[in-house]
Amino acid sequence: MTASASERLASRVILLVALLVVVTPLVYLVGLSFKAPEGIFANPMAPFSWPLDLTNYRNVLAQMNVPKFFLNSLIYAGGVTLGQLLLAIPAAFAFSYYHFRFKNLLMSLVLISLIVPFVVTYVPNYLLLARWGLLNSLVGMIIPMLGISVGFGIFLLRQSFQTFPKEVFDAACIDGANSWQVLWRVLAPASLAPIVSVAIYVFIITWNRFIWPLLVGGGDPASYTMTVAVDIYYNNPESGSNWGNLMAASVVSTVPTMLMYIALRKQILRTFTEGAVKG
Amino acid sequence: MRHPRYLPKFAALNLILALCFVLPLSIARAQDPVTIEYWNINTDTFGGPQVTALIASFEEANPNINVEPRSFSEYQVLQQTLETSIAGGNPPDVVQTGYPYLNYVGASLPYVPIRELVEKYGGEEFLAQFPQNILDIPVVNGEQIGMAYSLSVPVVYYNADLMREAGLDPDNPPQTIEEWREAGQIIKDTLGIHAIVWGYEQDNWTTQGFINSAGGNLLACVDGEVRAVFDSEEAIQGMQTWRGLIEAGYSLDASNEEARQALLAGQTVAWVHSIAARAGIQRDADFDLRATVYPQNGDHPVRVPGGGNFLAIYSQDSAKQEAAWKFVQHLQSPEGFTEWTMGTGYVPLLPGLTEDPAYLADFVAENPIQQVGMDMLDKAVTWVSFPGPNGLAAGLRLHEAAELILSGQQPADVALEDAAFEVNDLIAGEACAS
Amino acid sequence: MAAQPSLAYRVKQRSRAQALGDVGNRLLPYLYLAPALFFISLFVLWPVARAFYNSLYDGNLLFPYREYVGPERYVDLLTNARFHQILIQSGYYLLLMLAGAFVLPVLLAIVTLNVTQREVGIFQSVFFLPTVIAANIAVSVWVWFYNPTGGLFNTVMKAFGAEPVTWLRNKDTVIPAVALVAIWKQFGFHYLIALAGLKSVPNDLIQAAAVDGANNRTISRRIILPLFGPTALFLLVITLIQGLEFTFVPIEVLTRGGPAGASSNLIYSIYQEGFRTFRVGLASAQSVVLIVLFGGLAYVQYRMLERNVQYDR
Repeated sequence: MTASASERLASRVILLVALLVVVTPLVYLVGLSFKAPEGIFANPMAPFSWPLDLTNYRNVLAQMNVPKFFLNSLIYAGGVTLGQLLLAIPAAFAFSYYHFRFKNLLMSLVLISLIVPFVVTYVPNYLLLARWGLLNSLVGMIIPMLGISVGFGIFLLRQSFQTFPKEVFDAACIDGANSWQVLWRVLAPASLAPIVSVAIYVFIITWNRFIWPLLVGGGDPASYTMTVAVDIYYNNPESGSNWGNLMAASVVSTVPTMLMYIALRKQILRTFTEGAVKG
Repeated sequence: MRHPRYLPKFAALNLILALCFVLPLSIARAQDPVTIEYWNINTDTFGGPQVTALIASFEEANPNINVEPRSFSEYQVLQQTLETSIAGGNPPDVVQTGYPYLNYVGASLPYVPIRELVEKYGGEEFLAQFPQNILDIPVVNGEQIGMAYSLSVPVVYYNADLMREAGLDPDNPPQTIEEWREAGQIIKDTLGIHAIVWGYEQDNWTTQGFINSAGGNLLACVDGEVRAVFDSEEAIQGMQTWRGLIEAGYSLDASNEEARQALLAGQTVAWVHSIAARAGIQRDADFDLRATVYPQNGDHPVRVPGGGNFLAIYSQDSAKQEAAWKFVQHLQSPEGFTEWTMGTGYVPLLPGLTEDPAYLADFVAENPIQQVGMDMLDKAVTWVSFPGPNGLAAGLRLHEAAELILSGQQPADVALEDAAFEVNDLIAGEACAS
Repeated sequence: MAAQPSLAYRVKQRSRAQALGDVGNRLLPYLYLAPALFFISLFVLWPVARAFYNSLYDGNLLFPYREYVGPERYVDLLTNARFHQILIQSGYYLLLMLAGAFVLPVLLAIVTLNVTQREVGIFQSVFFLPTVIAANIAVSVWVWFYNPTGGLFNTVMKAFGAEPVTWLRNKDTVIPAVALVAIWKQFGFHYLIALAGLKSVPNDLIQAAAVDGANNRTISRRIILPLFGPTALFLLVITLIQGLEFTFVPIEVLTRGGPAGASSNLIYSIYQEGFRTFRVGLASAQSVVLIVLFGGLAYVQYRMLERNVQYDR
């Protein structure tokens, strides 16, 4: 579609306005983290004040065990991502390449699982974990999450697996590979793009989850994730939030996902729909 | 080669999954000395260092007891975790519980009564140090379910610089609602900002202060049952007073956090809030911060709810119970309260500490804000907690009425009458405490 | 670009199944499915079943079955004015989410087609940024924005001489204010998907049509929209099903459902009854209502999605 010069200009203006709206809160998030604790609210119009004050960062790094909480977040998000892929890939494979009894029923169950909001599942799952003695552990945090949004991965991967050229399979089967081998040696490598997209998506939403890690791991600093730690340390309604520290801790906890996003941006952008949605 | 090799792999996968469940169960469970858990809402920025110090001194004196602190961001999160932990059969030992949960805990949770602890492990002398009214705070249906520990009262924090700027005398701050109203007009005319802001939350702490200080009550005993009476004339007048200040622009409909920001940003001269937050506000204020007493409303005596928490014990086995009881006595020793007050702002509950040079005398002398908190202590009344299994929902109804009134959506009488009707339905049949 | 849900496709699938049948091992697909279904059943479907059962009792987290209430629970719930208010507000939230997290990203994506490739990269990256920040953290900045006195919004309004607004305390502004935060957090992800969907429409097809004399509008309607359909539907499904969940953390951080429940919705209400006032039976009954409503919605959408995805192929 060829756009005229005026259309192009209008488009730019619209996008720039949107950009401004999106960016402003982020600028303040970073700016407040560099303000001195006293007088942090003194001038709302100026997100930054010079010179930059590092007190908040010093406090955060001294008070919070950042490497530990970071590692916890990494284990939690990584564990959920890996686990979901291990579950979703074979399931998506079964749904896209086999005909079997109850296929539609089982697929419906998967889809139903997607619409169940977390508020319904958190209490029973919490009690289950309590019974198993898995509270305040990362294992306990991970296991129920393997069931909770795995349907998303199954759904997306199934769409993408269905488009895989059949000839490749025939060839592989003639060469004597069984379906397990076909799945992991042919289909999975060939579908790397959608698999990586799903992985990134799951990783980011899991890393950012808050209520569940707070519920399961909030009782013991050994199992705090970054999001939980930030909340427990600096968002205390009893004493009032310590805003400068809260913002600094937020920046610190956001940096890893931000870096990951920047590093993998092209990959995310390219694969998100080309592989997954359009099919 | 052609044999399907997927089966063993599936078996292996499932085995691994199964192990994930079983393994963590077999680990753990082996302690020689007693380990107890202390659940609190203290973080590194709010009482956390004091908790660490108090545990260290306790463990030094009791080498065979280990105390593991667990910190929560607020009472509500602590409470829901507590409930599920008990349900999971793994209760903590010593727990800070906010006063609004008092009746709920008394009615629904398996606490160990103080009476039972004293019978089994002694501690009469410890109890004897406390005034009876302090011991009576955590009493539900005649049973003392814990020890009042943290106690806070509201004080009026104010920005003396702004008061001077408005032409008022910061050494003689307003002491009554009427005086605040007059000051409010001056402040509005000269500075264009608010005079005095109360933040309020779902715990009804601020709302109760207004109703009580206008001569009203939240609950009363009628024919042996608890009834909501916050639709009385006095209570309605109390809420109207608050709304009136907001309507005139002297005050603001705000949450605690919003009110706090207003004070720190110079958008209000005063903020009425808990003495427990003293250390935090002193840290963040870049102006001449002072405090004065809660304003009197008309001829009614000031009556404000004491905030904070009590310590309840949930230990199951006797070794832990004994250790937990010892730990509570340590927290509430003169040394314990001294540490606690200096680090937070909570009022010490043992009489005489603030006059004793060995403990808090010097600190209070140098910290006039804390002294205001001490002066308010005799105005403190019990922070109401609604009874029965629907008690927390009932409390929420009153909070919602306050929101309707203060945002100007409903007149005070309508909102309070509706809420009282609903609350009476929710707490129907709850017998009065003896 | 077959225009038929082609027979060839189905035949292709069947032969594929035969080829991979591993000599008719009927157990195989079930084995592949078993681990995933095990986890889904245990941690999602079983809790749903429990919610049905729990909803018939009064109780808290500790003693969920203190008193039997029975089906009467649902009569009470469905005739409760407070619950009606929550349902209406849920609908309002969904409408706003549709506008902000579905229509807006799609429109912006369409507009983006007019700018250069390098600019596209910048917009994509920036719009996606809020998505990678944890919700509780991202929302905390907005607490400060909405502050009635020292906050950014009212400071700006004051500078223009307007009366300050208590954004989160006014029943008319509170839902849009909360939804704005949820949209800000989410829309970049949807924009990304919409843009990729649009760009997957082959350029030569568009050019060929233009050469044939078709105007922009015809091209949009005849070529881009049909090919973009599946992506759009996918976005619609996500927005409708997860729209209320996106608003959860903003509500929790900004308003806790207030003033007087004016910013609550079905998901928040379930949380509040279950975890704040510990009325598990009531929370469960609301969960059941939610699942029934969403289940119906999702089923309709799923049927549409299936048809369209196949159509596309």
